[in-house]
Amino acid sequence: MRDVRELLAATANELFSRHCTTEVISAGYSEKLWATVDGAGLIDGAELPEAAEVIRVAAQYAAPIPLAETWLAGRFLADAGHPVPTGPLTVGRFDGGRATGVPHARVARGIVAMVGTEVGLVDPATARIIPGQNLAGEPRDEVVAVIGELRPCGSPFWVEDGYALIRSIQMAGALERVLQLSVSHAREREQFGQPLNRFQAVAHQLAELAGEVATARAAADAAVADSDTWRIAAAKVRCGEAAGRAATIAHQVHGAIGFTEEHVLHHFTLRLWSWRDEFGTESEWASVLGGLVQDTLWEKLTG
Amino acid sequence: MASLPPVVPLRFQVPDPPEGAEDLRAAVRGFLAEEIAAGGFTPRCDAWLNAPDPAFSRRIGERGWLGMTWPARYGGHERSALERYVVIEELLAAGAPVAAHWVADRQTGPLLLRYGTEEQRMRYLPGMAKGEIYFAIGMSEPDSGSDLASVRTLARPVEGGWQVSGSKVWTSGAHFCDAMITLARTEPRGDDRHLGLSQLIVDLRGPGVEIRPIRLLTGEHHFNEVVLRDCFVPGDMVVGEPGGGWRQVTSELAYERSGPERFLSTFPLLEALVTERRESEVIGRLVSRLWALRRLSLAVAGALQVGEEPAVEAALVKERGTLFEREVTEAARSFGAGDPASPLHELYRQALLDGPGFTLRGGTNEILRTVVARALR
Repeated sequence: MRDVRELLAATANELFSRHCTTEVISAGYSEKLWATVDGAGLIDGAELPEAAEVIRVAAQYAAPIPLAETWLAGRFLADAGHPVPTGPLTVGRFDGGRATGVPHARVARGIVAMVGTEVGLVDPATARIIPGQNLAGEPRDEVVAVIGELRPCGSPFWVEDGYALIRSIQMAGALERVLQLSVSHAREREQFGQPLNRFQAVAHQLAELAGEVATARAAADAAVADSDTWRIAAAKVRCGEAAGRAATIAHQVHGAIGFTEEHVLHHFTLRLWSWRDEFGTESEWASVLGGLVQDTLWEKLTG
Repeated sequence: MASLPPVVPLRFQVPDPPEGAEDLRAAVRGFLAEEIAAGGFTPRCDAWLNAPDPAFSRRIGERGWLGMTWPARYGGHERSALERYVVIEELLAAGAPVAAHWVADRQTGPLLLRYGTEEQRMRYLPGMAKGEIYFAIGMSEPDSGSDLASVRTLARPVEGGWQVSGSKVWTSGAHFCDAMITLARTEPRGDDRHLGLSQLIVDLRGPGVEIRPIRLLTGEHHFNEVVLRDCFVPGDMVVGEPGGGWRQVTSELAYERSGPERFLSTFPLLEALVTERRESEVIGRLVSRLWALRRLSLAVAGALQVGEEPAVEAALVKERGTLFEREVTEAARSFGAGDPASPLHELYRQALLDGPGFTLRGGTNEILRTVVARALR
C-alpha cells in the first residue's frame, strides 16, 4: 500500500508541477486544470490514505480547484448510498436550507448537504449562491437551496471533522512547500557577501520551521491512518499551530519580497492563515481534544 | 510560466507496532501498578536522570526488560528495538526510577555490541542486562562542552595499555556507576582534530580516579567531576579502533537523542494536570504536540532498527521534544502549580528545577538546530 501511495504522490507531483504554474494559481479556479486532474482519475473512488497523498500534493502547489472537497463530497454521497455526480463537488452543513462558507460552491456540479445526521444532494442550478471568499481568495459561498432526498450519513465522520481532517492534510502540504521555498530562498539570496543560510540566526529559524513542518505532517498522517475524533482534533491543532509559526518564520526569512503579490509565497501563507480557522480553530479543537483524553491520556497516545 | 519544483519532504516513516506489543505493554503496566501500590517507587519528573534505584533496576532486569535487543549469549533477550521502545516509554510515562541503568541499557550496551571486543561484551553486557552493572559517559570537560572534539584528556601509551590524565564534568551518576566510557586523545592532534580520539573503558572504582560531586541548583547530587590522574587503562579496554573514537561517538547520537526520554521527562506532571485540573484547551494543545512527537520518535526508532543512521531526524525530535517538556511546566504554573500548597507543586518543582538541563544534555538545542539547518542547506 505504501508503494501505491508513493506512486500516487509522484504522479500528482508531476501533474501539478507541469499544469499548476504560478500564473494558474493567481488566476483562481481553472476549468482546464480541473479537467486535467479529473482526467488523470487520481482520486476516483480512492480510500482516504490514497486520496490524502493527492490532496497533500495539490496543496503543495496551491491548486485552485476543489479536489479535496470533491473527494469528501463523493465519500459522503457514496457512504449514504446516493449516486455521485461527475465534475467538481462540494459539501456544506445546512440548517433551514442554508449553508455558509461552502467551499467552491459556485463551480460545483453537485453540493452535498449535511442536515443533522443525514446527507442530501443539492442541484446547484436550483440553488441561490451568494459569493464569498477566504483570506486567500478561495471561494467560500453562501448557499440557499432545496435539498433532495435525505439519507442517513454512513461515513466515519461528520462534515465538520471530515473537513478538519482534509484541511489538516492540506496544511501539512502547504507547510512542506513553505519550508521548501524558505530553504531555497536562504540558499540563493546573498547579503553581506554570503548566502542567508550561513547566518546562524536565519539557519536556526529554518531548523525551527522544519520542526514545525515535521510535527504537523506526523499529526496529519496519524489522523489519516486512523480517523477517530481525537486524532483529527490533534491534527487540526498541531497543523493550525504550525501554520501560524511557519508563516511568521517564512515571511521573516524571505524579507520584503515574500510579502508581495509577485512572489509565490503568499499563495501558501494566505491559505495557511485561512485553513487554520476553517472548520474549527486550534482553540476549539484543543478543547475537544482535552475533553476526549481525560482519564485515558496515556492509553490513547499508545493505543 | 513559472513552475514550482517538487517538494522533497523530511522522511519520517512510522513503523507498524511489533507483534505482541499489547501483551508486553500490559505486562509492564501491571508491574508498574504493583510497584506503585507496594510503595516500590513514587512517580517523579525526570526520573530517568535523577532517580537511580539499583534495586528497581534489578527488578526490571529480572523481568527481561534490560538488554532487550541484545543477543542471548550476552544475557540479552533478542527482542526488537520497537519492543524495547514499548517498555521504556511505559517506564518513563510512569516516572519510574530507571536512572541507575539508563545509560548502560540505552547507549553503552549497543556501543559494545557494535564496536567492543568479545571480552568486553562478556565482561559487561550480562551484568547490564541483569540491572547490576552501570555505566557513565565521560565526554564533556571543563573546557569542552558543545565543542566536544576539543577534549584534552590525554591517554599516553604505556606498557600494557594507557595512562590517562584529565578531567570530565557533568558526568551523571559516576558516584554509583561501575565504569565510564571516556573520550580521550590517544594520538597527537593533527590537521583533522576529529582523528586521534578514542573511547576507553575506565574502571571508576580503580586507582587514579577521583569523583567529586557537582551539586545541582537543588542541592541534589547527580553530576560529578571525574578527575583522572595517571589512571592506568589496560590495552584491551579501548572500545573499537584506537583513534576512531569520534566516528563512534557520533554514531551513538541517534540513540542518545531520539528516545522517548527527550519528550517524556515531564509527563508525570502532565498526567497529574489532566487529573487535577480539567482545563481542556491547554491540555489539548499539549497533547497534540506530544502525539506528533511520539510519532516522529517512533519513526526514528524504526529507522534505527533497519540499520539507518537518522542523526538529523533525531536532532529534530530532541529539539522539539525538550521544548515541549518545558511547555508542560509552564502550563502547570498557569494552573497554580507554583503555589506550594497545590497538589501539583512537587511534580512542578521537579520539572521546573530540572528544566534547565532538558535543552542542554545530549546536545544543546543550539547545536541541534545547527545540525538540522546544515541538512537543509
